[in-house]
Amino acid sequence: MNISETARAYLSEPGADGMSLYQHLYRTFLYLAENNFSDPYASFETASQEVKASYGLSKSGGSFGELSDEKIEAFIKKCELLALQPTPTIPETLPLLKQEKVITELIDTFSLARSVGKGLMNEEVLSLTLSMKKFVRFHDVNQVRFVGKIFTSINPYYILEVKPKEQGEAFEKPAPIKPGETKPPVPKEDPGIGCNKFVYYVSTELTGEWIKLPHTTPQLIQAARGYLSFFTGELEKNLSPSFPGLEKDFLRAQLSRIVHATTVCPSDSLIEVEIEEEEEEDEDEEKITDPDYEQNPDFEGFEIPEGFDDPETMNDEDGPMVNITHARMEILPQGRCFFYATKYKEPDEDEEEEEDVIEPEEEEPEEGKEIFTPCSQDEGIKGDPAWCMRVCQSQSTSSPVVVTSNLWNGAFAVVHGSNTLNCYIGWGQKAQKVAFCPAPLPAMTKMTWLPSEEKDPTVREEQDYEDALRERAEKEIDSEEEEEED
Amino acid sequence: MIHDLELLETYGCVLSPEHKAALRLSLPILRDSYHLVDVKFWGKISGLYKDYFIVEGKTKNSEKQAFYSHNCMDWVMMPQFSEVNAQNAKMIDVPFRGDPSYIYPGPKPEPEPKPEKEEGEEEEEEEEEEDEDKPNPNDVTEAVRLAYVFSLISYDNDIVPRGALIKDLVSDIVRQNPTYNGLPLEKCKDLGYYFHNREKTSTASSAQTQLDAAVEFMDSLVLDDALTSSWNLNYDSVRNCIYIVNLKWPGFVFSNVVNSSVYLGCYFGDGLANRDLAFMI
Repeated sequence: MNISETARAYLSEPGADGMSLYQHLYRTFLYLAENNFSDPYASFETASQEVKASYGLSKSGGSFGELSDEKIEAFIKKCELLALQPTPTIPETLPLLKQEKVITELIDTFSLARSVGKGLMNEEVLSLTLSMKKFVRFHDVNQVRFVGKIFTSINPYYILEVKPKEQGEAFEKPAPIKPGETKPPVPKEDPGIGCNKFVYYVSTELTGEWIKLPHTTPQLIQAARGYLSFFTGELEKNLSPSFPGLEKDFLRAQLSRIVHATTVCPSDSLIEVEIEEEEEEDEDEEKITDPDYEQNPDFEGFEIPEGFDDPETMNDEDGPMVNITHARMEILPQGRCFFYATKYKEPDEDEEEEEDVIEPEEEEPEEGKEIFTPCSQDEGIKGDPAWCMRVCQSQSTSSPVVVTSNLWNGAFAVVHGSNTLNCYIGWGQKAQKVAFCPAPLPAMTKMTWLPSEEKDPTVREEQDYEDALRERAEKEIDSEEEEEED
Repeated sequence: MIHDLELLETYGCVLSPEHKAALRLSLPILRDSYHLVDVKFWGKISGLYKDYFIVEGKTKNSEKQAFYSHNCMDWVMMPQFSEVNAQNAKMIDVPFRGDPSYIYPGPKPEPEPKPEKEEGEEEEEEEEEEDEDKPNPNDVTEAVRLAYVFSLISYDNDIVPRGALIKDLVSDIVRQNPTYNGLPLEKCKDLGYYFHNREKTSTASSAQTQLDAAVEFMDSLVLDDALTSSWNLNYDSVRNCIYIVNLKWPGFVFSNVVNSSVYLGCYFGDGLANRDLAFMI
C-alpha cells in the first residue's frame, strides 16, 4: 500500500468507544462548517468536545462519585440530623436544654473566629452542631464543649469534652509500701480530678455517633511526651513498641496535654462554683477536690491590649498576654495535675529490723503553675514568645482577639467581650525544641529457657515410626471389625 | 479563584473576610501595575508578630514573580536571593518574626589572607575596625529568608493534575489545556495522576496509560522519596473532591474537584519544614 492508504488505514482504526479518528474528524469538520464559526481554528477543540459528547458513549458517571455502603449509611444519618424530626433513632423533641444553647451559639462563635482567620467550613460547623445536639440528647451530661479537630491519614478526629453528671467511682489506690519494697507506678487520677476531670469523645464522620475515649494515666502522658507520630485514623491500632498503648490512648494523652496547656481565658472571667459542703467529713481520707468554674457575671469584657505586634513588649512578663490566663492546671512532670507521693508504711515494732533495708527518701513534691497564671509567663522555644496575638484590623475596638500557641501548632483562642472560644485545629503534635530523638526501645528480655539441641531422627527412623503407627491403626480396625462380627 | 479557597477551610486554611475583600481589590491593581498575565493567591506564612500574605504572578514571558504583604493591600516584590543567601537561610530554623528588615546574624566570614606589610601595627588596627563595620555577607534579612523559603515550598508543592497543562511539542511552550475538564473519580484518587509543575528531574514515568508526551512532561508525586516529601491523599465524598496534604510542609493543602477543572493548592503555615518527618509517618 502506498503512504496515503497506510495513513487512512491508521486513522480508520476503531478506538475505545468504537469510533475512529477518521470518522470523528469528518464529523468535526462537518460540525464546524454547519455552525459557521467565525474562527474555526480557535474553536476546533471545543467543536471536537461537542461532537464527542453527542455520541453519548462517554463513560464518566454522574457527578456525585462512587459511594460505598458505609458512606451511604453515613449520609443517611447526617440527613436524619438535618431533618430534626423524631425518628426511630432520635427521641421526640425535648425542651431546649442548657447545653444546647451553647451548641447553637457555636455557629456564631465560629463565624466570629473566621473574622480573624481561624475556623472551619460553614457546613462543617453546622454538621458539628447537629452531631453535638444528638449527643446531648442521648448522654446525661452537665457540660459539653467542642475541643477541636485533629487531622489523620484518613478521617479527621472531632473531639468533644464532656462533664458527665455522674462521675465514675474513684480508682483503687495502691497500698502503702514498706521500706525495701519497690515503688508501685504512680496511680491515675480519679474521674473528676485533674487530667481525668472531663471525659473525651471522638467522632470521625459527624453523624451523631461519638466514641468514648478511656481515662488517661500518668504513664501514658509521660510516654506521649517522648513519642512523635501522625495519627493514623484507626483508634484501635497498635502503635510502635515504644508507646505502651493503642492509638486511642495516645490520642487521649495528647488531648490532656493540649487542653491543659492551651485552654485560656481572660483574667477574672471565671469564678469558682460554690458547692455546699457535706457536714460529715472523713478525716482519714485525704480528699483531693478539683473545683469547677463558671462565667463571672461581673466580668466587664476583654480590652484589646497594645503592643502585640512589637517584639519588645511581647516578651515582657507584663506584656499584652498578662491578661490572658490559663484556665486549666499544668500537668506535672509526673503525669498528673495533683502530685502523688508514694505512701510508706512504718515497720511495726514487733518485726525484726533487717540491716539491709534502705530507708525511703522523702519525695519533694513537684510544683506546677497554679490555675489562672498569666500566659505572659509561659516560656517559648529558644526565647521566642509562647503565644501570638492578632486582631481584625478593620474593626478596631470591637474586634475579636485571637491568641495562637507557638508550642502547640493549631491551638488558638478567640476572645470577644466576655466570650472565649478555645479550639485546636491541627495535627496533634507539639513543636519540638530540639530535633526529635525517639525513646530507645525496651531492652531485649533475657530468655528464661534455651532450646536444647536434639538430634533429628534419620529418615530410616522416621519410616520405622510411621510403619509402627500404621500397623497399630490396622490392628485397631481389625479388632473393631471382630467385635462387630461378634 | 478566591471563592474556591473555601474548599481548603476544612483544613483550617481560613482567610478572614477582611483579607478576602482586600485581595479582591488589590490583586487587579497589582496585575495591571506590573503587567502580569495572571495573579494567584499563594498562601500565608505566619510569623511571631505579623503574618506574610504571598501572591504569585506570571509575566508575559511566563516568568514567575512573587509579592508579599502584611495586610493584603500593600504589596512588595519579593527580593532575589543568591547562593550564599540560600546556604545561610537554610541554617535558620526559628519561626519568622514578621519584620522584613530583621537581620538573622550569620557566621563571620573567614578573614582574607592579608599581604605582609612592613609598616607598623596601626594599619592593622585600622583594617580590623573596618572589617567590623563592614556588613557581614552571611547575614540574612527576613525578606531574603522569606524569598528562599517561598522558593523551597513552591518547588516542592506546585501540583497540577494530569492533563491540566499541555506542552506544545514543537515550541516547548507549556500552557493551560483549554479542554481539560477534570479527572474522573478513579483517577482523581490516584496519586500518580498529579505532577510537580517544574523541570522534570527523573526519567521514570508513573501513569499506567499510554505515554503522551504532551501531557507527561513533569515528575509525578508518586516518584517523590517517601522520607523527604510525604503525601497524604484523602477523598471527601461530601464535597466530591480530593485533598492532598504535604506532611513535610504542614499547612500545605491541595484540592482537586472530581470531574471539574477546579483545582488549587495553598500554603497556610509557619514556613518551617517538618524535620522530624521520618519518625512521624
